[in-house]
Amino acid sequence: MTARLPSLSREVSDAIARIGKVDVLVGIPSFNNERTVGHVVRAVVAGLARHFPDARAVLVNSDGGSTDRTREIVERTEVGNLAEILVDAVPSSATAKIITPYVGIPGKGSAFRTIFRIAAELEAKACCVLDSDLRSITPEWIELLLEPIVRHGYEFVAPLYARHRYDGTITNTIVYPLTRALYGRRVRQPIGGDFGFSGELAARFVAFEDWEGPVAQYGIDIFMTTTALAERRKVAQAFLGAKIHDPKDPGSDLGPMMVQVVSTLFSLMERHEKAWRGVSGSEAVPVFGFPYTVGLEPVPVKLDRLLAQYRQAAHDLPPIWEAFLSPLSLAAIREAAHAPAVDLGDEAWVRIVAEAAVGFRRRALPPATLIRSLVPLYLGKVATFVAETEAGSAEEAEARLEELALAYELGKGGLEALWGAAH
Amino acid sequence: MGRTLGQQIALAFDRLLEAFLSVVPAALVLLVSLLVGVLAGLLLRTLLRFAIGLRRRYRGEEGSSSRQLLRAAGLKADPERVVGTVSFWTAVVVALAVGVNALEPGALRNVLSEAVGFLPRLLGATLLAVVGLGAGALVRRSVLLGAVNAGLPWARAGARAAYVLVAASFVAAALDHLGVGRSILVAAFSIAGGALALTFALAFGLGGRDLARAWLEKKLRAEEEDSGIRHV
Repeated sequence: MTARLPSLSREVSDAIARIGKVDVLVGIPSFNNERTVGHVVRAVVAGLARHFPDARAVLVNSDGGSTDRTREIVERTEVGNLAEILVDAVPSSATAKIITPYVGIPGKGSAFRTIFRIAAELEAKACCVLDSDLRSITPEWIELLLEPIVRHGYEFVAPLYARHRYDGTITNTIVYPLTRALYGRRVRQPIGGDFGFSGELAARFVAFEDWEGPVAQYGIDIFMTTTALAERRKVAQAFLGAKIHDPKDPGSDLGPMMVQVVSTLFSLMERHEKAWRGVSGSEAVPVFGFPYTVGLEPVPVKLDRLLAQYRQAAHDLPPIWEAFLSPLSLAAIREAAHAPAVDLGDEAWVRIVAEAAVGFRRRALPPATLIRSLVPLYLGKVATFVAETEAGSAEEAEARLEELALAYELGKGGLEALWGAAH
Repeated sequence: MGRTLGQQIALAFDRLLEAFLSVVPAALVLLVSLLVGVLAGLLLRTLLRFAIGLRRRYRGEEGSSSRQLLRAAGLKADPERVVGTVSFWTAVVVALAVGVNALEPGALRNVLSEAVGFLPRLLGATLLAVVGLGAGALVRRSVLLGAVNAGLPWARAGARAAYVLVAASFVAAALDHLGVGRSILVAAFSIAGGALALTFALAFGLGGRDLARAWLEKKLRAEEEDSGIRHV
């Protein structure tokens, strides 16, 4: 199947013709981010001036039809006095900007798709994408995401943030350990949101055929990381410090978000079956940047609510789970629900995720239904993790997640056997 | 006397034999029609199963949309089995209808025509009922998942109620299609619908006005109800 490229407006085509080729491209997807996008643009322009003064650079804002002043702010924002932010070098030219609405179903992935297309048209050598709601971005992020590609020959750079132990729990309990066990490389934040990648990889992304599915929404991050890992690209991580962004996006409710991320992860397992079958263990991925301790904003967790939701599901949902979970997993779910504090062990959890992936593959239930039915189980695993790590240090919590990741690696053989049997 | 009785019995037997013999051609026609129908049905079923199997081989084992639709409706049957059964019985009914048409005009033909003429309606009603049960199962699962994920305590009862409502609507439509108790059905649905609306109006509108306001406020300020976790 040949990919249909996203269409570009006349203005964008003219701008591409005017700009010609570029060395670096920075993409910013946006939707009603007037409060934060100015800060992000300033950091980008300063970062380009400080770290890539001689490069031909372009900033692309792919907007989802903002009704506030987002686009106007992107257009007007300049970095100001470079000396004040300790930039000695004078850029050879002002950073070019392309501001365009994207086409396709509304979502972050569709916004990225337009950025990939423009990167391919401009034959950019290195690109990075940044969320537009960032409050903690600094000019150094540009260096950290682009430098490994421009000067060290890497093709994909994933972010590495300092995060609170209860920040990013889908990442910690499903996406990171499963991706690590599948593809054998430890990318700690595979859905971090801010990435660096080569222009060649951007062209590869845009050639993907299914932009009508979850990849067009929150599935884009795991799609990018998985593509890089499955194609055995040269992958690195960049330590960016803390990630502080605007309060929760109202569109990012748990159910739809989990459906988009996990269904992309599972469907990519089908697509890259040859790449992950037979891989055992995992290897570290190099980290650029200087890791340091960051004072993190605490994440208050309402454990009672998590427990109540898990227990109710354990009582009400077995008829749905029976379609894809084994009697052993159902018994473990029941048992965990009856424990004084929910205790969904690693082995049981890894088996549940493996059976869900296989159930997804053999369409035991409609994809969205299957993943929505996993939500309370995931909350049960989070509740278990919270109960186990509440009193300990951040390092102990990270060590606990490492145990979980190792359990995924140990359970890989079981997943492969189930997967093979489902053929 | 004895001779007269014997003659009468013999006459009765003659008439019975005559009546029986007059039915034999019709029965033979129907039997042949049934046989042709069964054979045609078997052939059709085999051909359709072969075509579906071939399509599945080229398009993937599990990815067919019809299979997904059946599973979504909570039916575990294979699509080829369903298609095969429906096509088989359709062929049998068509063959019977043709057979009845071929009979000599008369009381028997009229009776059989009515019976065979009723079969398509029966099939239609059965289809409606099956679709209704499937749709009910879909709605039940959707309501159950949505309610459990929203942490609502009445998830199971709500899902069951949704199922009953949807399935009952379709079964009522099926009965209506058959022409059974039409006026009773309309009255029953009107009364049930009205009672339900009144119950909710009283319970939620008057009795639970404050509760309703609090609930809506909570829903509109979703972050207050959040578990606090940042998931991605």
